[in-house]
Amino acid sequence: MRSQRSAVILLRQGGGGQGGQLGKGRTSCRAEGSQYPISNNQYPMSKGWIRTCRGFTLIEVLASMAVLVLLVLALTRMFGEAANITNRGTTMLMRNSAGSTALETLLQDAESMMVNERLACYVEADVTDPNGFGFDDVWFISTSGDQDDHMPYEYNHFFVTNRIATNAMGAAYMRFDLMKARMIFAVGDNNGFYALDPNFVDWWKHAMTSGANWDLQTLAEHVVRFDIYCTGWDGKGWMAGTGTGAHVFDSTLGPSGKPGLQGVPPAAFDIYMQLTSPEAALEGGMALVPDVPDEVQTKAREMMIRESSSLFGRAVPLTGAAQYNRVTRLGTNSTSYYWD
Amino acid sequence: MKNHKWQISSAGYSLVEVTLALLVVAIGLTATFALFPEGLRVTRAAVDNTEIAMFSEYVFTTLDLTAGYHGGDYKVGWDIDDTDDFISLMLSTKADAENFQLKDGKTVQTFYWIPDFYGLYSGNFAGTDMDSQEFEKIDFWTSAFTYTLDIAKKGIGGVPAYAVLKVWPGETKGDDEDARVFYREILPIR
Repeated sequence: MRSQRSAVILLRQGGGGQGGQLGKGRTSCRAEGSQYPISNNQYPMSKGWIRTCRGFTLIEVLASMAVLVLLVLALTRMFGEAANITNRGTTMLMRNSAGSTALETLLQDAESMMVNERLACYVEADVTDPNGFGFDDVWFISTSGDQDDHMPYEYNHFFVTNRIATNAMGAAYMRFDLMKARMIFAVGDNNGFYALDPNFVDWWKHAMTSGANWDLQTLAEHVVRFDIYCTGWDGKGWMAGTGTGAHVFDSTLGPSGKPGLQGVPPAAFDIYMQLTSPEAALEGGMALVPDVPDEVQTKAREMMIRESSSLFGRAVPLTGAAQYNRVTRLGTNSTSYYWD
Repeated sequence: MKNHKWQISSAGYSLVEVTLALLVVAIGLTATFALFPEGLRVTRAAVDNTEIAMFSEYVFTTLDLTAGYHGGDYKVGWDIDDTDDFISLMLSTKADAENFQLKDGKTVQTFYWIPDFYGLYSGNFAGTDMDSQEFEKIDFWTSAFTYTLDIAKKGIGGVPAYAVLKVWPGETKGDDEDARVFYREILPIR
């Protein structure tokens, strides 16, 4: 059908290179009434001729362009969606990987957690963002201390920060990061508290106010859940309400209603974390800054949770005896250690 | 200028040419589109592997904990039913405990991870469409694991016992070669 149609074009005068360069088989242009094909080299045109050239009509070109545009639009949209899904998958994998590493670190420390009548731990629920995500706070002593100081113990504090940060565009958003703070015993001793001293069994209270510098590390970013569950040897939850309304597990007091279990570690120490995507954290976090209506904040939190990945783990703390005799090495730093 | 007829080709592409061109385009598009589900499958598998690894750690730690608490040999001092005492509080206390009970033997079991949705110890947040009560009513699970757990004694006196855990993602058992297999020796010592 197309070959039967023709288009009339005006070739410019002189040796313009049009006719001889036409694609093979696509069109065939000849001078009107001539049997010869146009070839500027062979047949220089000295005057304006009207040429008939077989080719696509304007309608055909427009129609094909329209089809092409539709096709490109559809493909672009499809590739865009695919790229978006791929990107989400990639960020989810990265988030899972970072979360797994954080969880592994936490579990490793929790597995080496030492709880007895001298070494205490403390867990409090919903310390950070109490009316929102309710991140827990946990303080314990692990056996991952500095072996060179003959002191294998180390203070650990895991918590979630909530602070207002700004993104690259300068917009403020609420950001939640899981932090690990650690301190060797010698540093604590230099700052006035020593957990093995019976006067400092509740060492976290002193650590909070001592002004000692902790070694801080960000374990995970964009946290929307950090909950600790202390399961007792009776299979029950050992965290309980206090007179102040807080839910805690304090090993120096024992589980609520069971004072005979002071200094006993929980049977299992379960950790539940959820990390959301950076995009959701940024978008939702913008709605969590002060003065945003409650319903907007609720929706933002829901969106952040929906975009999150869950990570869970269980650790079993160590049990065993610990001595609290204190020896100060003179002549060096005031390193203290236990001996038996 | 010689007067002879020129062979003028005024035809378009032949049917064979067009068909071949379409074939090339189709193969290219098919190959391109085939990458997307493969990418999704790999991503899904990676997420499954992460969750299954966490689940296996949970199972083995619970076995460790139970063996350490009760002491003694497997089937003598402790048994798989004793793990029921240490079902994690991360899991919903409102849901049927059968979802979380570990079973040994080589029978295929399914473990539904129904988390404690923002309950007492996990914030005071209660969203409008994520109400914890509603979730608990429908036993909303975030992950499901199909597994077989085989515990057997090893060595003189049966201590330690060893456990072989095979896990498939989801609610149904997949092919044997798709199982993620884990092994742990269970010592009744803490």
